Amino acid sequence: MASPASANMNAVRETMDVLLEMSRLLNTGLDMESLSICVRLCEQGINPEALSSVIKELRRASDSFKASENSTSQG
Amino acid sequence: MSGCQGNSGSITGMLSALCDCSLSGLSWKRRALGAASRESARRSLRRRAYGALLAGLFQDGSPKPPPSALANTPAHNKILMISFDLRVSGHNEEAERLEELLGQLRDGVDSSGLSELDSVLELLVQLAGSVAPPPQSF
Repeated sequence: MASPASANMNAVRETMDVLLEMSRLLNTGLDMESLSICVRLCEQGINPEALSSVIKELRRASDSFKASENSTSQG
Repeated sequence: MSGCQGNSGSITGMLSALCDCSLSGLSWKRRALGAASRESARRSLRRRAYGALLAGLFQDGSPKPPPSALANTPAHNKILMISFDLRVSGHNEEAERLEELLGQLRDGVDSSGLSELDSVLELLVQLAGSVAPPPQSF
């Protein structure tokens, strides 16, 4: 028989799988790693709208790094 | 993702892990010779992340925009509205699956182990459509 702790772990894993599939259907761009960090941040009380701003800002920054990387490699 | 180190339980640690996720996939060998080192890129990302996170605070004196009609709509209902939009645009299968998954979450909310499921759903709503859909396979 499964212990309560492992049953809880399974429940969390199943919930994360459901959330990841929803995330993909909604084209949020979150992978499992980022999603699980976001879930933990929400659990800590971070405002989801503020968190979405953070993620969009990080994408913009990452895109500009990639763009400068491409221009460096082409130059 | 290998570039993320999300083991820390603190908010600052998790934000750093999110920044690391954003940096994965960049070529640091080439970058080290060029514009920025990995560490300075990390610092820059953290600065931008905290800027975005804290942008909504400390604005008590400035005029606030009027709340939108959807501001008080539960995230669950917003997802149903997205599902409706999917159906209208001919994506019936995706809409069906989305509603099914939403039902699974609602049924298992007590055993999910998550206390802030509504916040997570709100985050998904906020990020919905923020990247291009994957290319269709034929």
